[in-house]
Amino acid sequence: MSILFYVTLFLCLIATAIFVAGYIKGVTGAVADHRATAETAIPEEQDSNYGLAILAAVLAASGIIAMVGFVPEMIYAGPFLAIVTATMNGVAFFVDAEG
Amino acid sequence: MDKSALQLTEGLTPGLGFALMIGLGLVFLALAYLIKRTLIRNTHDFISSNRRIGLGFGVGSVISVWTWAMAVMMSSAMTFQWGLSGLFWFVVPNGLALMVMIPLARILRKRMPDGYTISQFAYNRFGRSQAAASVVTMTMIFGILLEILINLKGTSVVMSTVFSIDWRVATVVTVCVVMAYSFFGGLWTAVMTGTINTWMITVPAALVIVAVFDLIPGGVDTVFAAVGEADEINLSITDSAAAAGFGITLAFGLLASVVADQTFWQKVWSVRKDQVSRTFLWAGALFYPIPICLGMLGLVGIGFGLTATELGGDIVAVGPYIISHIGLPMTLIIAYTLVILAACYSTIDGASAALSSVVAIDIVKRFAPNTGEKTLFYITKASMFVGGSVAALIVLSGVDFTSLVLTTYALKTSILIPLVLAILWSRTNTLGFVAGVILAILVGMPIRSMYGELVGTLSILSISGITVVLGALLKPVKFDMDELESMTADLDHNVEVANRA
Repeated sequence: MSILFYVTLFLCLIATAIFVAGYIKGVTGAVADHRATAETAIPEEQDSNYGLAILAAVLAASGIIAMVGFVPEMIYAGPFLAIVTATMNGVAFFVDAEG
Repeated sequence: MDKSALQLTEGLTPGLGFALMIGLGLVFLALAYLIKRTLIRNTHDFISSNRRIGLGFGVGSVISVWTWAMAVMMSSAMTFQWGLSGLFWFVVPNGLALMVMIPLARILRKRMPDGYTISQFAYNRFGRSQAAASVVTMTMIFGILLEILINLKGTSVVMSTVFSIDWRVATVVTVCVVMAYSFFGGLWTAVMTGTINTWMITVPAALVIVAVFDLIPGGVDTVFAAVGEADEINLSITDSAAAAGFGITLAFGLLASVVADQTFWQKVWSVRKDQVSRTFLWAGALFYPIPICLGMLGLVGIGFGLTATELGGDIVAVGPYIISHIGLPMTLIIAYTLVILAACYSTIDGASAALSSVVAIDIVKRFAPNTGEKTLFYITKASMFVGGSVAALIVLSGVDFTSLVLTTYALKTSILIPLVLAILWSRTNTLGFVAGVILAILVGMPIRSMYGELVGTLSILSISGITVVLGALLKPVKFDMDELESMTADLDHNVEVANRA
């Protein structure tokens, strides 16, 4: 296998570590929340406008697919971003805890 | 790229396939048992996780439930058939469909904080109309059954192609495994195992795709050149044939699949109220890389010049075919199989959890409101088994389930605009809602069968939308959405039956 494969493997390991750390935090948080004698009050959702974020996500996905047709190396964008998905899922547990 | 180099990897025995299917199920079963002991007290916990699902589990579970086993393979198949235009039209509406839920979810979670199901919304929104609620409930049940069916079918195809397991046995094993672990913890199990499945879909997929290009002499440059040589249009996203052939229809179908699906509405009412919008935004955006990553297998298929006949007659098999024939190490073939199994298991357990909420709220509590908590809890759990068994029987019977697909398609597409208007437009009334759905099916479906998917879908959407507007003009009423909160009865939170049941 090439160096690129091992770099990907390394990134996968980092993503996995972040994911597992987040997951454990999520599970322990859920159990603690469930066992709490008094339910903690949850604030109302803030009125944020997600229109621009949605547009950015759609344009980014379209742009990446279009770029594959011009730059062969962009074929690796999909795998790289899939690792980002796993990482960000792990990060979401920490963002949630901060909020 | 010489396709004669593609040879089936040896050692892919049925025993290995069974070990993967059952092993993954046992891990989830252990997790589900712990969830049952620690997080489930009653039906409210079972179907709504006490409305306490945080951002991490929300994002992970929405991504995994939206990543169907068939979708994992379809991204490769659409790329294989239409080039990058196929990937574009498959991917872009997929993530967008999740994010479009944000405004709808935000309104209903705020106006109906104690809600459980979208049929319950229709029931209350339209003056306790059984007709309106029944149309929505039926759509949800058909949709859930279809989700289970298609994922069972997809998994049985992969397990029989890669491991030579009899597809009927693969179907039975899959249903038994998923039902066994889902039974214990309901929605908490679905979200916690679903989040693990998101990791199992993304990380192994990334490794496998990079390894596939490593094994091709010349790597991405060779594939890029071969794809362009096959047809220049393969490298463009502007092929209008892909848009007309499936893209536009799929876009509306995906939108309907999310908005008219209790699997997602259950999440809307179960994620913590301050995280609902963020959950769907993150899930939609983070979903995108999955089909983009797996779609690259379609380019490899084009590069090798594979034909549908070589794939066993179905281009959906292009991904599994390349993975099992390109010479990957066994560990990576197993990793790809786990991607498919994770996608399958998470969608089925999510759908089963959604079915349990529909049965508890829209059937038992509506028609027998005095049902005791213990009985309700048992019925809720049993409904998951019934749903899984019915779906498995349909797959095993070998019948062509085209009629179920068509019925579900008709219901979901017909209900899309009326449901969206019911949430956003206070003048939508019962007459317009019910007539809109019925007319769209009665008139739109024949148009679809005569003039094809694109014209048919646009007709169904137009008819349903126009009828709702006409209904509002004929019988002007204005619904106060603030009334929803007082009309919705929450289940009893405090009673404990789970660990005594």
